[in-house]
Amino acid sequence: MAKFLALIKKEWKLAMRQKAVFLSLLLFSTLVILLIYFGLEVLEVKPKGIVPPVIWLAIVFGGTLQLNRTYDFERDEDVLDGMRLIPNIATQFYLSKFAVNFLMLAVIAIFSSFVASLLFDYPLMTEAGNIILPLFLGLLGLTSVGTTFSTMVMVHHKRDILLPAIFYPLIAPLSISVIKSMQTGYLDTTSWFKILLAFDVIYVTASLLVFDKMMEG
Amino acid sequence: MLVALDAYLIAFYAPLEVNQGAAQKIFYWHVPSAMVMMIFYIIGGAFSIAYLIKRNPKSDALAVSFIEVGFLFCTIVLTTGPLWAKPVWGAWWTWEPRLTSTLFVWLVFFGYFMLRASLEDKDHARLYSSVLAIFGCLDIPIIMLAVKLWRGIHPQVLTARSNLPDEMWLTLIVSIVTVLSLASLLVYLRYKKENSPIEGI
Repeated sequence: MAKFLALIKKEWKLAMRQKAVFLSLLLFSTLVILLIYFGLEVLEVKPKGIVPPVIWLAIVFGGTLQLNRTYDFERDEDVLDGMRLIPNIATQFYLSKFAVNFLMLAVIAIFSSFVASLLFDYPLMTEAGNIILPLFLGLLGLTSVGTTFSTMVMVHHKRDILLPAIFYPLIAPLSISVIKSMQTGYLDTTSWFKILLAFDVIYVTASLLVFDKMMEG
Repeated sequence: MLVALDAYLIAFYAPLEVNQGAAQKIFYWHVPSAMVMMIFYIIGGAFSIAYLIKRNPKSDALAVSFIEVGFLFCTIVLTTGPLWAKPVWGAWWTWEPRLTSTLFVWLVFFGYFMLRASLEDKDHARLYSSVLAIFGCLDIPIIMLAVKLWRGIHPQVLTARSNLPDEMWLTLIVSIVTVLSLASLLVYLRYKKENSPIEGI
């Protein structure tokens, strides 16, 4: 636990050092929402169901940029080789990366939800009950897979292209389930919730299991 | 020999389906290709797990061989599906759930080859592509679950046994054996190539 807390502290300090970069992620997510709005301008009345996919797209696109930065510090300073020398550190190391990524993505999600509700005149407060849980479960899945995949592409100089190429197809069922859950509300979406839960349980477990092996090099 | 026999059976022995006409004959390769795709991806995933545990390059070579041939037959499924859909459903591509889910699976494993080809370090390429293969295989049942929820209009060929005339059924069985044999041969050739000192990574 002490190792985990120390790693979280380290990750948090690193994240705080790069506030400007994080602000640009929020700006990027806003631009994604704006571009989608311009694309849908032909529709005089925007259907209510259009906002959940807009929010999710902003999270996925903004989140991908954040996930790609997961190992910025380790890559530049060869910190990972040093981490490998510490016994039984893999799980705590993964969880610390996961926690910080989840937090960052959650901020992007909250920010994007407000921007989208403002631009699309979406009753966010009344719909909050329908979107919070699907978004939370979606973020869990997105972060678990994204953190693992960012480890794979960390050393690659074209990781900006490679990460979305391997990441987006895999999270397709997650994306569909999150959007459907948010669009139809809790009571009608038991099955979509089951898929969301299954995705989260499978990929969080699988990520924890394989990360140990990945750290072995 | 098997391919020639299968081609003969499809062209001359199996009768024309009344509603779909000649387009239905695509199913004699479409259905077995889909079966090979699924089976080979799962076997490839199993060998990827074996590689991750033992770090034996032979497991990785088998994994990439099965996944590559599975990918080839996935491409055949995605090609023959629209070829059948155009005359029967009136469009090359419909967002029909099973077709869509096959496309997702194809994209996941396309990423597998991209990742593998991108990483210069051989050990990294083997390790990370194994992880991606395992994640991809885990994704298949989740995609299938999502598909069920979308209520597909995909024809259930194999559950319609009672409606198939014996000639069609026999042709389908021969096609399955043919495609499976051909795919196994391709895996063998790919495995040999992967193990050769010049070509293998």
